Amino acid sequence: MGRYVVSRLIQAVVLLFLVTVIMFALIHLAPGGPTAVMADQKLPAAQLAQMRANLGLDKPVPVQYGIWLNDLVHGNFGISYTDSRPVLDEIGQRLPNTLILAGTAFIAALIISLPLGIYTARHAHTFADDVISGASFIGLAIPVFWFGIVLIIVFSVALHLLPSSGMYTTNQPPSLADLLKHLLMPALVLATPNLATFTRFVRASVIEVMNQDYVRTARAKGLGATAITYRHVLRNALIPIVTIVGLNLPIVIAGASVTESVFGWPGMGRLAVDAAFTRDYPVVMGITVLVAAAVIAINLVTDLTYVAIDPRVRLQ
Amino acid sequence: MTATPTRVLSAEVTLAREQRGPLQQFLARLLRYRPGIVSLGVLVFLYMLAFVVPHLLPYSPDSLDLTNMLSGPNWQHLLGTDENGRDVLARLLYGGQISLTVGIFAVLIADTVGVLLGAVAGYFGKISDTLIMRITDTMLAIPGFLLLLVILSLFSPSLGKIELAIGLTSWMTVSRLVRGEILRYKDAEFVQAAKAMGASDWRIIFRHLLPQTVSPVVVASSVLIGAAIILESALSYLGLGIQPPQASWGNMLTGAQNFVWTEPALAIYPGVLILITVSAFNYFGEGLRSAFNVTE
Repeated sequence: MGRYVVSRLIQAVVLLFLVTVIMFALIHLAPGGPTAVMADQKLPAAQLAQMRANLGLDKPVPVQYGIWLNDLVHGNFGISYTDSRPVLDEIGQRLPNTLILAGTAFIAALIISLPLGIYTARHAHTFADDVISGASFIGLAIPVFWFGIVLIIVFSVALHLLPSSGMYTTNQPPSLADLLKHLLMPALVLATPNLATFTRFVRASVIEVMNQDYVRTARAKGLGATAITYRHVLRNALIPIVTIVGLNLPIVIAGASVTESVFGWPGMGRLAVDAAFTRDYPVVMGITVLVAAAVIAINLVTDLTYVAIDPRVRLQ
Repeated sequence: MTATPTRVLSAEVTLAREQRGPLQQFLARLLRYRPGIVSLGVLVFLYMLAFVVPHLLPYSPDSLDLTNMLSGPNWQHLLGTDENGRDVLARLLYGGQISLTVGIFAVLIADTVGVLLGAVAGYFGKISDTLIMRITDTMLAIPGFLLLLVILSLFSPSLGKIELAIGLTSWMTVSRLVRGEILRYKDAEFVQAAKAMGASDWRIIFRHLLPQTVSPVVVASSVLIGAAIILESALSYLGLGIQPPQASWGNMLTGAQNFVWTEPALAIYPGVLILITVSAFNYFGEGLRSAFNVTE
């Protein structure tokens, strides 16, 4: 077990390293680099060269990568090109806002999808199942940004109930009630595709477990349907559910980019979009490292949990 | 006494059923899933709308009518005009050409990459397997949408580049799927027979193994097409996809969002069309899944 954990940890670090190499290489393939955006302002060539030198962009790409990696290992994510602040400060300022939004959406999606998935699995191929499963297809097909615009049209434009953008009302001291009012629509938008994915997955997972021999045994010894569902089925169905929840994290981040743009939510997703536009490479790299690290860590934890609870995996 | 003719009859029915070829059985199963067939009809209708009807319209999607901005529906412009006085119906139809092709070509690229990598990894194993699966894991760990944003911000986006970018960032499910299927069959008797007859590795892969992977890949592709359409529209909405003045359902929403307070209808149309298109691909994929008998 100890050796397995160590080897998996090494693999995770190598994976993260590869991610940064690919991203860094891609970014520096760009003709002109970040100064191409600044070049739009028609600066003299000498001044452009000076800017490139200041940013270290005149060095060969592998050298630049080495410098970047060395800084990163020492906890330095670099300086943002656009507003000359440390990248870590930029991200640190935006990350909590994204966590509030994505966390709310994620938890809401889980709380709603678990009972829905269990219900549809227990009543598979009935009318109610067809309706809910059919609706989950539509949930997967809704473009999040458009759903956001529609909610704005209904709740802000037509009903004047909710604010259409931002996190707090300007010129007012921030309050929890105000935050919740601003949070409601973007969280709903972000939760929808996850709600659909989770519901489908919970349903499939529960159905698969319900066909297992030990469930038949439990039924044969006379246990009630509810007891079987919660004590035998759900416990085993939860393991693959945890995996898919972890795997969905990058999708939540992608959704956050779009949702935050629609609702003017000052989060990390919006920061990523802005940074890609302005070619603010240190910010792009910083966000890449953080998100990739989170994805890799979650996968690692899920795999290790598997090993810890399922002896069959350990034997392999 | 009466039992005998019934038995003969049922035997005949069984015989008739067995005589139907695999293709007919497949079609019969496909037809049984109603939403899938309805979706196919919807898709055919949408393709006609996007590729045939625009030639019959009096307006080009880019012609400006500056005296008639945000006109609202009328007999001249059935769905009204947008903020630049362009005919909304014409733009929706031309925009449809983007959404209805981007998904298919992006997924063809993803399938090509995924099938080749998955086949090599599964069949040859060893170093090639380790290497390819590491690349797959790496691509899965990179936040895909961020990668797309970066790629498209580097190169001035065009339809071809968007298809390429989406294709090259979404082949990982396919490669894993194909690798798994090939591992399942590579020691099967029909492969051993082919080997004994002196077939080369590539002949075994292309003639004997890849045909086994067709149904799961097709089913996965229909879901990927829907996802690719949504990705393109999101990128276009953010300004990193199809560039104005060319119309796409995604970038029409960018313009329309500024006018939700006065002309909310403009923001409704493109999204409804995306929703219908993607749902149709998903439902049709579900039909294919049951017709191919593929389980997840």
